[in-house]
Amino acid sequence: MNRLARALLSAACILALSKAEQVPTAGKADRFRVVDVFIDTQAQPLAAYQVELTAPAGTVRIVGIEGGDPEVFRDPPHYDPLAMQSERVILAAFSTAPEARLPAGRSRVASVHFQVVGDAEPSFAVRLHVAASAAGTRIPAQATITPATERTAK
Amino acid sequence: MNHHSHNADDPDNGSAPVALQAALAGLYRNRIAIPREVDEAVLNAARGQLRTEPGTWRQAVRVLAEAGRQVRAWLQRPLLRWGTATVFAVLAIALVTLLLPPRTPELAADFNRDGVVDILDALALARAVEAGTLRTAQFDLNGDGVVDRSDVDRVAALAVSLDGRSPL
Repeated sequence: MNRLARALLSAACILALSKAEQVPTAGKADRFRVVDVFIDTQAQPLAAYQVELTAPAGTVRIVGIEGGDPEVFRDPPHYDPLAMQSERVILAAFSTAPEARLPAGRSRVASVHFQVVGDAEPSFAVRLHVAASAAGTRIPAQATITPATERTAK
Repeated sequence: MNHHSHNADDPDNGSAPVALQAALAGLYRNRIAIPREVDEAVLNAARGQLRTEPGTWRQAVRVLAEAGRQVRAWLQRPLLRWGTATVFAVLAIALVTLLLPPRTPELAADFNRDGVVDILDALALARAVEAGTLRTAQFDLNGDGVVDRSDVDRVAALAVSLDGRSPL
């Protein structure tokens, strides 16, 4: 009887230990992506831009927005706070600086940080609403994004 | 050879017989005299017929004038007068409200009047604020009595709004 009790106790301990190994001891590492937004105006100085950045619903959450490289667009652009924790944002910025200080050609105007939800690799799309010269008139331009770079946080 | 001579009495040659032509010519040679009394009678009958038209118009005008008098008398009652005035006032207000464009923040923020509120409106307003060229409080979007950078920020906020409302 004593031997049987000892065997049962051992079996219970082994079972408990094997179950404990299956429970994650630490949270899964969060995955983050950074998408850089570029605008190319060829040779024309860029005084204002407005773009829309989207990802398929349910795949990412926006967690941060930062400004770009040109001095006049270094501050974070305007965006709706509702965009945080969603997968869509409209970014816009302008500068009333003299034309000589405005960027021309291809410039990184903003970067958007996303948290990836789920295991699927997210895809992003950008659409240019408008780009304008110092005079406030629309100019032809192209908005592009870099492939998302991965940053891992634990 | 067989020769035919031309004869007016011949029914095959297409002309009326000579005797008939003479009889018809004699029939209208004498003018028919119509007595003056008959002419007068016909004229009087025609004038009488035409005289009924103006009479009908006069009668219609009389009916309308009478209706107008009755409406005026009806409106002279105080209660009805005020009621009518109120109805007209409400109708006028409704008409003005319908015809005038709504004064929404989105409309006010469309500084360059291109029908869209975007960052170009913020840029244009910012330039106007910096230049001090604004002569109207139309773009005082936050209602603080001045048009300044905070109004520009409000326009920009509307431009990037996801639901069309300013988050500011």
